[in-house]
Amino acid sequence: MRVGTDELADIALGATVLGTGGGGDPHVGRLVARQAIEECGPVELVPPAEVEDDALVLLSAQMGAPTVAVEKLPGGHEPVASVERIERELGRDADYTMPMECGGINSTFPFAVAARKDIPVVDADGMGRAFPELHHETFNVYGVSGTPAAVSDEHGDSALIETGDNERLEWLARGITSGWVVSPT
Amino acid sequence: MTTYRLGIDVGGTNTDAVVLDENDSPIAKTKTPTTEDISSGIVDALDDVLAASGVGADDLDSVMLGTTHATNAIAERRGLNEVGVLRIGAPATESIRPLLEWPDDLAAAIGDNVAILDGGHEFDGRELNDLDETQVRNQIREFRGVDAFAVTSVFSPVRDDHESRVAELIHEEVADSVPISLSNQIGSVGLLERENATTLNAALTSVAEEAASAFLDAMDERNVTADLFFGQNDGTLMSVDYALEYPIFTVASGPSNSVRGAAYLSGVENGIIVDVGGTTTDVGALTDGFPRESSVAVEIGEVKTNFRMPDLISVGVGGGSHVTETDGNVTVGPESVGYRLTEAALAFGGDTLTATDVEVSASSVDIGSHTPDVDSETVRRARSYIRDEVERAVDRMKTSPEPVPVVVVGGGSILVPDDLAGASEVYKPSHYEVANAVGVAIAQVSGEVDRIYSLDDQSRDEAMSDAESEAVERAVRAGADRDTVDIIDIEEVPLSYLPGNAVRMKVKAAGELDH
Repeated sequence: MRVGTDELADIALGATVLGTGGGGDPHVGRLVARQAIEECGPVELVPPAEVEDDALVLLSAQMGAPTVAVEKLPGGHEPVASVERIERELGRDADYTMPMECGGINSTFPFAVAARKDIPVVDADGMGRAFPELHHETFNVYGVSGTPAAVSDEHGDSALIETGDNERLEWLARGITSGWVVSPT
Repeated sequence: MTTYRLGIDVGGTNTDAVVLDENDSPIAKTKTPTTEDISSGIVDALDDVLAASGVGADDLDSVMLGTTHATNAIAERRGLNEVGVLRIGAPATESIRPLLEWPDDLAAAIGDNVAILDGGHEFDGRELNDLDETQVRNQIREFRGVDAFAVTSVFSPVRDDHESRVAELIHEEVADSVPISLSNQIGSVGLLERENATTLNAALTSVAEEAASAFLDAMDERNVTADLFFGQNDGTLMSVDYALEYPIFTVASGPSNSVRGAAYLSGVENGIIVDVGGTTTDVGALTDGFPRESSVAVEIGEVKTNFRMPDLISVGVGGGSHVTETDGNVTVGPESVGYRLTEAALAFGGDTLTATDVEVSASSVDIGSHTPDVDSETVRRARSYIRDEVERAVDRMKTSPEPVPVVVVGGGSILVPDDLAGASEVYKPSHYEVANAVGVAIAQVSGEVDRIYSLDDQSRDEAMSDAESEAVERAVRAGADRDTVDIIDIEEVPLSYLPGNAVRMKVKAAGELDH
């Protein structure tokens, strides 16, 4: 399925319901994705069953205070910088990106990354709604490590996090972001 | 000498006027058709109401006007300025360019000149980026020829330094007279909505000048020397000078005025207000005598804004609504004969069955020149349709299941039954038909602050008193008598995921007009 600017509106509406009052304003995420798709073209949305077993899927999201996120809007290049930091670390290119949470602002954010990186989005997420902290992901329940993770800001600054514990990943990433709008991937 | 106040409300259908004595009691009122040029309609209403009251033009102490000039200009994309839209916040914010979500024709009507430049602040007042003055000057030169500028800097509700500096640079580069709208004066945190409201404001300054001169000319023509004010959308007043600078605040002042007028005429402080006009019925809520504000972004001309607007539901039923029968089903509205009620409706010898005709035929109300003969089953079904629509809107505006007082005002009030479900009592106060003109005549003057404070370097009490004194200053600047200014509303929201104990404070102050 191809996701253009019209489909984004439906996804943002669903993200509002799934966010159940949290997760930031999906309207902002929708506009970020809309501008990226207008500039770079529509995005391919792929069912999880079609993803190859050895594919590299890098999750992308924005982290920080929702109140700040509606005022200091993203530059747009931050999540791309994070993805490319991990690509450098692993020595291979990302095949897909995917939302961490399907509620709130982060449900539409990966579509901007996908448009700018020209990679598909996997039609799945790690929560089924919006969540307060990184280790609340389904992946953590099944013992999947969230690292290496990269955090980037609008100035082009970035940090790489390596830890064996996803709760400490949340604590470290939160410490770095602490009110800054950035994107661990 | 006795002094009087005159309230005028220019609506889509009628221009209403009311004269209040020194006790704020209505002593004369009029409803005249709104005219194309608006100002001759104002003169007509003024002449009518002064003749009816026996009050001389020089006995008027103040005149208040509620107008739809700005609202219509946006809806019709007419008379708007070409605007240079400057956003200060790069390298942040570039993922959503200014005007991205505006309708194409509205963006084109203001020239679609946008730029995102270096600068802006963080939530705690640190600089996000340096303001690059050379870059700003170059961009201003590139925008040369625009009629007005709109400047929005990231977190300017916290620190307005960059916006103020850009305004100085514009004055140096262009002219002292060019209108500049700064976002920190117009909206609160929420960059896109504040930028939208600021840009609309910049687009409206010529329309505001036109409206102000229509108002001033009309008063001049009849030798009225009273102080003149505009009603704004939070139900309070502003001086003509202030309205010239902030025309966006006159948008949708009508509904606020009717809510305030209904509160005053009925004596009800908390309840639901139903304002029945010619084409629509607006349902709003009254909290401590003021309109309850919308908590979600409000759209104006399909553009999201975040400034003060009453929380309203509009239903397509009014006095001029067509009553249509299809396959045994009777519907009322949303089509309406509007201002042509007195020629098109059956009761006035026309050939269109309207909601007003249903009431005239069924009850003893004496309206028009004819008593239309409407089938009793049609009457029953039309009345039940209107009742359902109004009861549903009242129910949606209520915040608790208990019955609440409902006040019905506006020219079409006869349509609403006296025993609404969900109402503890239905009030139809005297002078209900000119409630909005009464509302603008009795309005207070207000000032508001909406700011984020860090409680690391100051106590909560210091932050609150800073917000309160700024709100009072803003009310006094808008024309309030300092001795009567009270804080009327405080909202305090702690901000999650932020260091430094940040809290957002929203304070509103209002007082009587300074005579």
